[in-house]
Amino acid sequence: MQQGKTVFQQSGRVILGLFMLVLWATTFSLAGVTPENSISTRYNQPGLVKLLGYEDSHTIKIPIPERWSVKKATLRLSYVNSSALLQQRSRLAITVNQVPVHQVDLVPEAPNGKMTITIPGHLLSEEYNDLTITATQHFTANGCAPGSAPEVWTTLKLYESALDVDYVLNEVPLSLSSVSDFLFDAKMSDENQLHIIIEDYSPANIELATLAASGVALRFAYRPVQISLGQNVQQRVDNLLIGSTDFVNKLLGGYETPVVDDHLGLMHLPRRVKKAKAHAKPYIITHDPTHALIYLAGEDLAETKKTVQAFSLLSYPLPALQSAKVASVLVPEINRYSGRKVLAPEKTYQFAELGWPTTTFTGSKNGSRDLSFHLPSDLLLEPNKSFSLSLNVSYAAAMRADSVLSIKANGHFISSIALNDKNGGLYRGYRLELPLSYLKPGANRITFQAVLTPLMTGDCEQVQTAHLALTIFPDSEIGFPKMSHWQALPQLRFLFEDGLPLTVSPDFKETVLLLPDTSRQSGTAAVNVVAMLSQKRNIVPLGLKVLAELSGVEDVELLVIGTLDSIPKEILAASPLFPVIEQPFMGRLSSTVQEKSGWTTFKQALSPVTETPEPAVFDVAALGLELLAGPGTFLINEFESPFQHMRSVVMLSGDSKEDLLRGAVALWDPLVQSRCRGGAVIIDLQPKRPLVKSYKVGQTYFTGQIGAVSFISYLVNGHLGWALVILSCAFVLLAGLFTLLLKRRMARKQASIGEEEGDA
Amino acid sequence: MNKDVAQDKWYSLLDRPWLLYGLLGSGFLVVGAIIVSYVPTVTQAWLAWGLVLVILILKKLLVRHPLFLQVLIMGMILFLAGRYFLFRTTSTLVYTNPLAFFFVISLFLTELYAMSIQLLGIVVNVMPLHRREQSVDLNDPDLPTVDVLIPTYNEPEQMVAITASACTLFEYPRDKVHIYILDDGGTKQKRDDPDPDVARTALMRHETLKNMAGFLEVHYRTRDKNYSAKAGNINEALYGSSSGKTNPSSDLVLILDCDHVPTRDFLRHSVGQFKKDPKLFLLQTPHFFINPDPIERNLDTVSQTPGNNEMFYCKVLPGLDFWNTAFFCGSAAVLRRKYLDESGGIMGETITEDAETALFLHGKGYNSAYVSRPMVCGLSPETFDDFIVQRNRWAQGMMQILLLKNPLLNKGLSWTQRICYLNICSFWFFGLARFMFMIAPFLFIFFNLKVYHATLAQCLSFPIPYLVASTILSNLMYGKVRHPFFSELYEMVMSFNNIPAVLSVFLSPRSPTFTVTPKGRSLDVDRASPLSSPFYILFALSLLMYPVALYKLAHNMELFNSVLISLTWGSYNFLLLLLCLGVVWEKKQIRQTHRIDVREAVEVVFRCQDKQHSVSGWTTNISEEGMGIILTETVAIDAGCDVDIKTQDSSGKPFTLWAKVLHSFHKDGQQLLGCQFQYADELSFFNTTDYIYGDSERWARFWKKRQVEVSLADGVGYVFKLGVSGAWRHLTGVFSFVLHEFSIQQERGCNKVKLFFSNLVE
Repeated sequence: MQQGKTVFQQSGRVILGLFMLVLWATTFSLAGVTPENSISTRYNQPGLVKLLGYEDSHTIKIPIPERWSVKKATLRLSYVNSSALLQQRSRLAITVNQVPVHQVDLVPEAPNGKMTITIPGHLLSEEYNDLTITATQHFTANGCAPGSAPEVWTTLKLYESALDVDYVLNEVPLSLSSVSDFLFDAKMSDENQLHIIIEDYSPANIELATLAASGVALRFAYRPVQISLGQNVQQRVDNLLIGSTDFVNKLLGGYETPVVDDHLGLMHLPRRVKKAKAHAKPYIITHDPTHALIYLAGEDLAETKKTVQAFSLLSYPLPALQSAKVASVLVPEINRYSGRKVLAPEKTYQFAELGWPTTTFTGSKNGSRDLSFHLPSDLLLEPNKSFSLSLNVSYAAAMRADSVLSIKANGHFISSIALNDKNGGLYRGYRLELPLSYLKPGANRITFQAVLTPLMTGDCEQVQTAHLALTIFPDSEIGFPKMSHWQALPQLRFLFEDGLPLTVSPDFKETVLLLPDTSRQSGTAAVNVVAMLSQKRNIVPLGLKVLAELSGVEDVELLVIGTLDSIPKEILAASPLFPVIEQPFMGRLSSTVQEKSGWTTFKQALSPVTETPEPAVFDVAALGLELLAGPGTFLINEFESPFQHMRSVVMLSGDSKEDLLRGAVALWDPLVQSRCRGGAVIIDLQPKRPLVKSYKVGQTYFTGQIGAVSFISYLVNGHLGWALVILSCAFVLLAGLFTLLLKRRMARKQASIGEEEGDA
Repeated sequence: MNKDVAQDKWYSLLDRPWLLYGLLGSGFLVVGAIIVSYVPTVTQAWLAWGLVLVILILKKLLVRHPLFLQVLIMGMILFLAGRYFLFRTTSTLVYTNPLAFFFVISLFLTELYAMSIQLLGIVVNVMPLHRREQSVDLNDPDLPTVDVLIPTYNEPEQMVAITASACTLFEYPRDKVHIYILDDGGTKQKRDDPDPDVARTALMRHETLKNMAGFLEVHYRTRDKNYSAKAGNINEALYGSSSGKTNPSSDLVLILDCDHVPTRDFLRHSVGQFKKDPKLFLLQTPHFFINPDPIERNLDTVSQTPGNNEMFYCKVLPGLDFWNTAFFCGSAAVLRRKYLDESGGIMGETITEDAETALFLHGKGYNSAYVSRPMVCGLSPETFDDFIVQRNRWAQGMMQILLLKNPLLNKGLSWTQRICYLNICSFWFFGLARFMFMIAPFLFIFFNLKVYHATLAQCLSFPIPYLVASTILSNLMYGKVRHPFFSELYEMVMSFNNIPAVLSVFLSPRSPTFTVTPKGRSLDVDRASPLSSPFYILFALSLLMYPVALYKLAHNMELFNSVLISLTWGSYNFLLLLLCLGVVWEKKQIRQTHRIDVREAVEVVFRCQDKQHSVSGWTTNISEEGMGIILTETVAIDAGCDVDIKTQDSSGKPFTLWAKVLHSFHKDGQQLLGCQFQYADELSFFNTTDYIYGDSERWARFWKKRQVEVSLADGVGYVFKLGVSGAWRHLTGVFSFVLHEFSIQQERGCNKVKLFFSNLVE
């Protein structure tokens, strides 16, 4: 009986287990794709892609880093096809690097389609792989239908599609050169992590940590990398060990590694494995060959800093050795226009400088190509000035006269070039003058789309499209006029666009990081934030100073990271949120409501470009409550520095150190970044996905350099009411003085000619 | 009294330089700082239009503290100008291609010029000095002696006779006045001309004027050779020996053009200034014109708007006088002989010898004065081309002064005098400026040359409020003497013919020669001026501008802003162009003498059919030839009847004029007479001349009557009406002319055909 009960019990457990397994699998499959895992998010693709015509395709670049050994990949693709399609002649085919891996019929009766396919790992090489989704679509049996029939379409729902790559990590080569092309690679699309070991959390060590962390972050390009800070080795993650040679040897000595005398070296991550108690040693030392420990050392702080600089600079050639000494570091010259694809006023750039190769559009479905560049966020784009495009273009013969090269700026059509010579043509220096208002501060893209039409387009004719071709040569140019730097702040959007105001000097040499509380958490938060910000301009923050106290913070941009109770009163008092923080109240702060005047409406009606409306900013009546909510929230606040006009304070704080750390790490999320606007941001860290609320708080102030005396512009713009009052007084004063002078002259004149005053 | 004390207290503040300069510096610092500040376009729009509103309000309040408020308004406009200039300089000078940039810079320089002229104009006209005329005691034995010089060249002898006879009627001791007719049309050189017609005409003129001078008991002078034009003529009389007679050597010299008939009180009201100010070298008086200038006549604005020269004589010269820069205008001016001798007489290096002489003597530290009472009556040029000849001479002369006698470098002048002379000279660049403003919108619409890089919002925030404010200021400063947009009209209508004249001086500063302004010409029929061609071209381009602009817009809506700006600008130019077309359609002018509307009481004594009775009435108009009269009661009268007209002038001086009734008719229940003056002897001629030209109060009244300020809105409406009607008259006139020519040609053709057939039949 007991045994029978056990058997039943065991059977029941198995059935329950199986049931749970099925339930889990069903749940997993029904759960679909989370936004952060979707193809559109992970591979920077649009959410929806429409495939039109007889044959159309969309290609997604799948990066596979050298560090991965891919076993397989699973594509889960959602799509909707037109219900007018003919099933027998309509297919959706998937190819990887032109190797077909799957195809399905496009079924008109079941237009909502989902497919899950497995891609063998050997098809994905260690580079950027083309995952191409091709639709061949027909709605008539004989094919005599217009190619542009509106019924012929299939939409790929990339926002709810995913590509899961199963991989194992390869062994780390014991060579310093692997830092750039193996360990920290922008092709690593998974969650990237780094652990930094420092001796203590002093400002000097945190400064070194931020520099090294930025060097790693820049190697990951735009990808997030979560960085932790500690005083010991962390397993299953790459470690950076920074400190004096003594400290490094002391720490590594615990892992029985040979004494290090070089400054820069790489080894497999050592680990202690616990042994049985009876053993003479409680642990044995092994190594994790899939992760690395990199030490950056020096005899003293200056030497250590030199080593860290060498490691951080992308231009510094790391040798193919396991360790090396750093003799000297040549720090590149940085100006305010340094950075990846950052363009400067009064300069002309060849497309090649912006990474534009010789680009040929062929066929009638040739997509579009973007010329991406970045304009500093504080550039004043005056609408009456124009930038120029000087295009070198050649196009093929035998194209219909309505073929054009369309040009868009940030998604808005701005111009086109007619390709109407049947014999083809070559334009050298085809010049377009386009208003600067088509561009925006920050990231910009000029999109070129070749609309090429063959001469023969009859329904039942052999339509030849292979000869359709247009090439834009990389010696084409884009030129900019003289522009000033002037921007109204606070606006946190710019912080996450290109780091403004902290990156006024992209190497942070005009920025001070103030850490009032030098704890592990605030240090980690600082390292993450600075590393994230350094990615915005792709420049190592060589000039950043880290301080723990308010000295030497006068004429600088100030980044303050700390819990609310640790932030110095002088800074806190300058924050527009100070009253709320100090003495919460219900009500509205000044300048908290987004205003849209009649003039703005009129201006928008006249403006040739529709500006993307700012997301509605929450009324701040509830802001006090948000702050009172305290734990689990993270606050970002930008306001004018109390120490210097036209300088800013960016204050990152939380109720506790843990909140501070979680908030800083949350800022790596591009979605969080994109929602940060206005003068203050509250991030609710409690939900799984942080909830971001932006507020327009604080008095507008200005920064930049404009005209002869920027400070006057700053004063006038910042205190317009007072400026008008003073101007009126000056008018009255001058008019009064001149009236007196004139009257006196008249009186003298009349006296000399013997006339009475008042005759004039 | 208290007011004076308070004023003295304020003046004493000005005597503390540190305080004065400190306050001025602070004020300028604040205004300058805000001028150079960058503000977003929307803020600029509020600021600029807010100031325009404030200016409008201040203008309404101007009755109290007029000078203070006017200076305040000027300050605000200069502030707007400063902001616009800064925007224009820093934001709009965009290089796109060499040709476009050439025009970008040209337009910018043009605007810079216009702004500078406005600034200089504000300085010059900030506080006009309206002097009262200083009457002298005619019994004073120390009254200075006066030489009256009447230079003449080719004007009708009758014109000279009237002027000379008017001079003999001066209310001034006759023994202290010496009148000289300086005849340059009857010189020995002319009388000996190889062309017998020229020689005969010169001889006849010489004899006529010599006899007339004898008859009028004035001096006649001529010279051997014609050189240095009017200046040479006067200097020959003052210092030469070719006449073989004693040179004039009185204390003062009055110079009168021979068509400038002085009133009898001229010397009485002008000589006193010289007694008051021993350093005075010049007293200038206004030139009052009895006839409308061609612009007034062709647009028919005579009775509705002030004349072209009234702004100069009623505002600019008083303004210059305040800065001791009233300059010699060639006629109707008294000069002190001893100072004139220092300059060697009238200077003649330039063709505006008058201004050149004044510049020299101002540089010597002597004073000038201007009395704004009109005391001469002259003639404007009758036709548009004569008008242009006159203005071009002035323009060329002023350019010569600028180039050869640069007032800025004249160390004897005060800074304000330099500014005033600079303003007077550089004003004459307006032709180039107007031309640039005219073609600017065409450059974009027809040639795609973008010469003004600003958005619509920026235009509405910077130049438009500035222009509106400037128009308000112009109306405030000159409203009574220059109605809205008439300055623009005068400049535009002169510009195209002014440009070659001005440029020629730059190419060769010494080449221009003195051209006598033709006076008293007549026109038999309505006709287009020979100088109309540029306006036809511009008219055609303006008409074409609209369809081309619409075509552009239809094909590229991106150009909406640029097209709208160009079209608005072009339409404004088009309105001025319509006015110009009205001006260059010349109305016929057959009257040799000009009537002036006068309403004065008369008693008409009829002496016909052996009956004699008198009826009261009032004059409607007078001229050298006769008078129009409205009678208070109806009288049976025939044409040819002799009448004695008893009347008196403003001073109460009685006159009895003999006239003959030419016609009598009834209108609106009233009897109107047209009378022609009759001259029994020389006394009746003097009597009539004295009545017609002797009363300065009549001219002053006539001027004042026209000086009525109109609002900007009314001004715009009036100009629009004038433009449309003027252009319509011109176009229909041209059409009629073409039809007429066509019918003549057709008739000639028919005649030829008839002749051909008749020959054939024979």
